[in-house]
Amino acid sequence: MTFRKYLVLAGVTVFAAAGDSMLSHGMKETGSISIHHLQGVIFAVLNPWVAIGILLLLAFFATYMTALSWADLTYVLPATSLGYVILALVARFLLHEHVSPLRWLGIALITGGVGFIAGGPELTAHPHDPDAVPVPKSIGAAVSSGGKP
Amino acid sequence: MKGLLSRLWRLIRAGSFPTACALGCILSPLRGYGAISSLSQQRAPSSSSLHISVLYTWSAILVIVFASVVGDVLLARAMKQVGDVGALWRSAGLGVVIGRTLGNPLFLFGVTAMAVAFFSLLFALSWGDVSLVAPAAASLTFIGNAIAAKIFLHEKVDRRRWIAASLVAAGVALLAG
Repeated sequence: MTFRKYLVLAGVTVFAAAGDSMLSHGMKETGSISIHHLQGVIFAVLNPWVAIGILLLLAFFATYMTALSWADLTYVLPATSLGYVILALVARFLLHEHVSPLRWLGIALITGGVGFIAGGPELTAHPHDPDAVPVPKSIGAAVSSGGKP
Repeated sequence: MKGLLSRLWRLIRAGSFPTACALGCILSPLRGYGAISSLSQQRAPSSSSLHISVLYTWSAILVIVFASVVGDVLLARAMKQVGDVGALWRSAGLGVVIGRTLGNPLFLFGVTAMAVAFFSLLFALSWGDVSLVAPAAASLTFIGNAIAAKIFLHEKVDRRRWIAASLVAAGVALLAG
């Protein structure tokens, strides 16, 4: 795991949490949308909170796909579940909402789960996987070192 | 002229499915949040139809979990086929990364499965209890993903990863409830 990869995992976590909360904040301002009044979607998109939320969720999807391209699904999902913890901590310390003892227990469990996964390898080694398209290391190395042999 | 038109039509037809998927992805959260915020006000289950609604709610939760596990597995498989995005970007450029991802059939099926999961979540929320559906679906998805990744993606789910998945599933159930 390089620093860049930890950065991508942090991006997945933060974009998901921030996008979700901005979208729900914006939707509370615009009100509910029903199947019969789909034009309400257009007004909802014009709300700045909703627009930023959609952009953040697109960024979440891009970083999530990037993480899945070099790490196992069973590594990425627990590693990025800290987003739930971030949301609870934001509710407690920025919005000054009450966080019940059961929720603190939930935060502790998730944090413990992430700690368990963080020490292990991020990718299962498949020596003869017909699916995998190996990226030639030499090309990447040559480009990043300015093409020098 | 005719050749140009038919080529244009083929281009539109090839592009319509990804475009529809992308639109669905962007629009579905909007409709979801609208529905959730409106449903939380008008929730009043009658006791006579309680058993039926419990049955419906749990089958809907199973559909949500199944669809999102299928989606996650397909997306993970697709991205392994695309290859390391960072290395590919540096060696071939961002256009190749996006083209390879959007051109991957497994990716498109995965996005479709995610949309199915999302809309079944909407339906479940319309007849079920939000405080049951959301945490149950979220935490069962973690467990289902661990099982499916072991079987279909041949990931090495050792004791460390089982413990992590169970702890996170329990924690999410407590936080979302």
